[in-house]
Amino acid sequence: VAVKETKRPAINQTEEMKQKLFQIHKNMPWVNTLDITASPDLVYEDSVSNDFEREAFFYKQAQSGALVAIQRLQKLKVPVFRPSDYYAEMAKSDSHMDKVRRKLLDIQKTKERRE
Amino acid sequence: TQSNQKVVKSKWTDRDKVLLLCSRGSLARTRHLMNDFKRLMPHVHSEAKFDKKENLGALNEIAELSNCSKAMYFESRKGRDVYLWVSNVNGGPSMKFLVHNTHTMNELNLSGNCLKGSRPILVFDSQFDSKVHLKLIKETFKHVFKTPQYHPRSQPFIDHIFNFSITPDGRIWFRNYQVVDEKLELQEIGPRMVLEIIRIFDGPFSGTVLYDNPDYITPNTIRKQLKLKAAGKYENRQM
Repeated sequence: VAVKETKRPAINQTEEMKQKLFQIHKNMPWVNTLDITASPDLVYEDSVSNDFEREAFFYKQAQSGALVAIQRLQKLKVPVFRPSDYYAEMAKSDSHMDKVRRKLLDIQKTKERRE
Repeated sequence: TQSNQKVVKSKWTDRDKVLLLCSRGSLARTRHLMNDFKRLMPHVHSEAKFDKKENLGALNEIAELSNCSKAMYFESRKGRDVYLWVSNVNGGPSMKFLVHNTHTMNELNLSGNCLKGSRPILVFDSQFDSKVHLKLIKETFKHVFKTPQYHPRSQPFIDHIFNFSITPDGRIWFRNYQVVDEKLELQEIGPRMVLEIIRIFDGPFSGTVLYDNPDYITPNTIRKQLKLKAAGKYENRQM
């Protein structure tokens, strides 16, 4: 929505922020934070309201980051992929996943019916 | 008997904890979003809803009492605007965001799933390195959203990604993806949120302003201007 802009005086204390950054920076092994900075080629420049393009970009960025991280983790011999016989509580409950599955099936059925 | 005692040294060395709470009068959706983060982040300590009448500084005491070095606080205003405070309790900085477009795991029908409490890979947009205030946000997020290695409530496998992207309007988009297989197919898990930076403060929940976003317009101003625009609808109609 386009509204009239009311600009306030900008505050940008660069020096103080650099100092703060230095203060909070902790030298810890990468394996503790698992942080990846995406490649500078991956910058989203399209319109924000273009849902499909935007989500596709996020996916691509996450995937490129995962590629780097997982290669690094495998070099450090940290287990990444869950073996198929490893069972533990999941972030989403089984009942929720059932609901999602039913929803997807419904969508597929209506699609087929239309054809 | 002393020789029989084995000294078991824990591999868990990074004991950083994050305080997570919301304000009184929060919407159900904010509460659910908070619960999603609780499920995804085993290093989080949650407290009862915070009374907005109290001084924000009281949050530092709450964090200290529960041994938390970082804090995330969702503040609701007027039953519709949600703000997120992210703070480093030991000496700052703290940052305040306006939260847009929240969607919880429960309301999104996304087919991804991950282990409860498994450690995420944090992927940051390269634009985080382009400006100092964004660098500061990145460094803080790194310490808030990472789950320490060997955390007793975490899982030994790494099966999801927290992705932070920046769009041309300067907002930070949060997404959570599952890494499905070795071909690196991803599936989104949720929740979703968009953060717009308002201010960065020097101290924890206080202090001088280090950064003020010049493009930020308060939701009140936007509503007011929309109302004013609509007000002249009939007067301005051409006969």
